[in-house]
Amino acid sequence: MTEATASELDGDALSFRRRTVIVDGPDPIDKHVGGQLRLRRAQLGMTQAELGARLGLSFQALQKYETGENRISASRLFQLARLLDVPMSYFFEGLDDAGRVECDIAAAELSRKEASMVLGAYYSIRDPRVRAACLMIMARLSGSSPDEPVAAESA
Amino acid sequence: MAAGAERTRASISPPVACVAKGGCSYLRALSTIEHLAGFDSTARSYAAAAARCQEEGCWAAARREEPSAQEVQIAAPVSLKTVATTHSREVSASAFGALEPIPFSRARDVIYDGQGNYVEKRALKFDSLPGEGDALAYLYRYWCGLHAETDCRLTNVDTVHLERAGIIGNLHIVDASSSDPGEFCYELLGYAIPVRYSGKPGAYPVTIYAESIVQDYNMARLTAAPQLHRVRSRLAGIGYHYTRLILPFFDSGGRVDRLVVAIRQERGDGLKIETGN
Repeated sequence: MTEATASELDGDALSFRRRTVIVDGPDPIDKHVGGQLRLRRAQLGMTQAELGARLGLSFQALQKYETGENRISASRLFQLARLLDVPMSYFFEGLDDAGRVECDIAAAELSRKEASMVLGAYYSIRDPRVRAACLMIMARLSGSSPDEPVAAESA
Repeated sequence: MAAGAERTRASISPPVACVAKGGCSYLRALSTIEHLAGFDSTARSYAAAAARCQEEGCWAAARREEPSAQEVQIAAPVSLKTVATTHSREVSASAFGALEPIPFSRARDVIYDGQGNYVEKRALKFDSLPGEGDALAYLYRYWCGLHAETDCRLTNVDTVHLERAGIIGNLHIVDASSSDPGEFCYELLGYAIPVRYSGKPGAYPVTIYAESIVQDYNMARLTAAPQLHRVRSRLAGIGYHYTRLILPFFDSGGRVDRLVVAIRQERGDGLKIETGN
């Protein structure tokens, strides 16, 4: 398991490895919540130092919240929601039920669609030699070895 | 929950028609800065706001209706114990006027290329930045605070300070991670700066100018120290006169990987300043 987010807690408990910011980077959900905080703060024209002062925190602590490096506690999130005049749900907007960012899902959908278009176009080429040539061009453009796909094609 | 979402939309929806100086360019610049700083979701929000700016209004414009930093006195960045306060000195705003000499730190450098182009450049002392009411001075003090109290990475930048300085459209961000200065490239070009060139600094069509800017950028990278210059030039028949602040930002290993270049365009061609010295 390379990535284990908070949203994957319902997976196999035995294989779950505790995520650390140093090794794995910030949790994507914490990062998203931090981004929402940053956006709302900027919309209100409040600096990190000013918001931090109202919370009794340093601007560096606010920075860590915003990057997702430090997780925001529930009580702090409640305070932030009140100070920034947004409902608690604001911080989670744009996340789906699995905790993924919605535009990432859209991007994944888009790449699936793109892949299906490429495959459709590829198999509409009737001449296998032309198909093999196309594959070779694509392999060269992508920087992968041209031998492998051609061999696969001829096999 | 639905009511809550509705409330959110109402509270953050753009309230006025886009009248921000620079309009969408302003939000797009913010989006690029946020992206480079590693805040992709925030960057996407700014980009989306920029796309809808004309139809739905621009929230940045609403903020602009309040007195901007340029209009009111620019205070030092709040609660950053800036080392800048030791650097800052009360200098009258007229120090950058046309009639008073500028305290240059060294004799001016002038380079000609025999084709009518020239670049005249002088390094300025940071003391010469006005104490208040100046975008470059504000930005410099903010950088000093960041440098003193953080790793001084682009991620540490709070864009609200850039907005308060009124410098967003006059900022370039340069990728200076390469050890070859010829490979430095612009990641953000200030939309309010009247130079329409988007290639690498080292490939600028006028060679003497390209060499000059690359040398200055590389100096900031190698010394990891800010640079302040007054530049007066004539390039392809067009005169330019500006003050330029170059601020280094660091990667996780403590090396300079990005330069934030802030420009303040100066009035006139600077000739009176020249005779003042």
